[in-house]
Amino acid sequence: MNTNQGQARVERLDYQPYDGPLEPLAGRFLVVAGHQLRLSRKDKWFRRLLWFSFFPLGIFAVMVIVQSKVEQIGNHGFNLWSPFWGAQIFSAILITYLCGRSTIGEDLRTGAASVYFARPVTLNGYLGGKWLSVFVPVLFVTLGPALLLISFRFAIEPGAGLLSFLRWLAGFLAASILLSAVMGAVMLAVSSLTRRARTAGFLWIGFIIGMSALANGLAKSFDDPIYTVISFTRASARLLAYLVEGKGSADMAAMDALSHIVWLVIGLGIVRFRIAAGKTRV
Amino acid sequence: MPPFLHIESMSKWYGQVIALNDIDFESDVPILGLLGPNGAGKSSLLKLLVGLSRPSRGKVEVFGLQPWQNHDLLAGLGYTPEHHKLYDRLTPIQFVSLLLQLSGYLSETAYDMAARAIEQLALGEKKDAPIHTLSHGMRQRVKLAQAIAHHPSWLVLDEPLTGMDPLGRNMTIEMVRRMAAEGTRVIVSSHVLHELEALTSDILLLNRGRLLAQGSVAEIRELIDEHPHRILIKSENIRSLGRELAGYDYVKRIEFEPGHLVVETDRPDDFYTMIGELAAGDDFIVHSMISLDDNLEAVFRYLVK
Repeated sequence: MNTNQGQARVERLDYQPYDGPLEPLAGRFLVVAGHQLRLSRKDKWFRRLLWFSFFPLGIFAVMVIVQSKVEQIGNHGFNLWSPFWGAQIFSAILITYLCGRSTIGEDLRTGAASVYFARPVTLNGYLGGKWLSVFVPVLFVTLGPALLLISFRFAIEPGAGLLSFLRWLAGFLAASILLSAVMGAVMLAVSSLTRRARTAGFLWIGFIIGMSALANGLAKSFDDPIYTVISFTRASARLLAYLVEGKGSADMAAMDALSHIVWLVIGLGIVRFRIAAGKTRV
Repeated sequence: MPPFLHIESMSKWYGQVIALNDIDFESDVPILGLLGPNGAGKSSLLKLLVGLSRPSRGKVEVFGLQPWQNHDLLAGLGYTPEHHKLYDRLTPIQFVSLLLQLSGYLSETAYDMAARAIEQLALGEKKDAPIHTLSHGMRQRVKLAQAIAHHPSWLVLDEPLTGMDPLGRNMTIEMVRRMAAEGTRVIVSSHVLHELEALTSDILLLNRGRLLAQGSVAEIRELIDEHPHRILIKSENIRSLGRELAGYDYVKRIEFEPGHLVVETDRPDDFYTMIGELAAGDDFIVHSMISLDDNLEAVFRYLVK
């Protein structure tokens, strides 16, 4: 077939105009999230950590058994949920590092952002998908083992009634969702600050350590534990203790929840600003 | 029916840096070439057209619509950015499928369309190879595959031929011309005139953020030919050669340097014919001839005087 523009012979391109269904614009964030999760899945350390996060389950399952025996003979049990949650927070920090450090930075480095945004994808859809790609793994490593442990404890502990089970379930659900949400948001913000995934990873770890140090330092300096809400990991641990074990006060729990929300807003605000301001659009 | 492109009193600046300055043009041709040296503002202009940024002042319209956050308009766009880094860990089929899904195509449909586009660009054997293992030319073809896979109604190609092998170049040129013939509107940028010449006869000439000229390739060539050309000639007997050349009215200036002379002429075609005849004779030995101005930088310097 000859074109009418010149002498080049062009092979039949076999195009077939498309008139089938299209996914709605509102659902494009799932494509972004799915793509990012598939990229994370290629990382062997990510896959290993997903399963490693269940490792504390074995230890705490043994503790549940021991506790149930202890309580049977009339002695008080020991604190179980807080150290368990501490272990899961540690896994959450690591999984966020692995899956979140290249969320925005990779797009900047490769110039993929320009290809993304030349498609019918909204900024919110892009950010929502990226955030979801961190939220889901973090939720998996926090809530997954928790669900198994509380189910196990409900099954074997004689004193654990349905109300206790529901309280544990609600507590872990709330704490996991809040923690996963804020870790996703803050990691996106960190990733948007640099084009190098490795640098973003270091910034993330540094941020977690620095945030905790600042919170502890201020709390000691002013002799007021309220300052520990600056650290959302500390706030998460304390919030869970309140929700699941009834420890602490409602006011403090409210402040802990607020800490999560504030960090969520800060994180999403930073990344949105970075992209909307054109600094991150290639 | 509004024209394909309409830009009115448009400027774009980033802080203190003016990327584009008071651009005015309208175009409705099938393929429009955007020509300019590096830093001319070509990529900035293309980013405005594909909705990646907004003008600081003025108006940019594509098919009568403003591209910024216009998802209906972007649904029909195929865009290849200038940079060649892609998702290194993805394969071509994964990369193209992903972008088709971002355009709303269902995953199976996206895969089929991606596979077809990759075959058309002769990447079938490499469709499952990680992109970081592909050559620069193949990466260019992957970029093009994602741009054409959904049969876009308008194509914006930023330096699509840079780094391509000859097979890829011919394939790209044929494909673009075929798509334009079928109704797709195309804007293609380059800093090399003969690359655009193979694609189109309609050119916009940009330099330092300003629109210098708009016209056909022939008209641009005339502009190039009108400005004085400087040619370096290495010869054994430059003095006598210089004396000989000075007798021609289209030789405007001669500079003598050790071992060579630099001639300035306003009729390069006549000069080359003449010097060829001189070199063929016995009187003068010409070792080499280099055109110092056969590039766009010289044209632009001339045009902005």
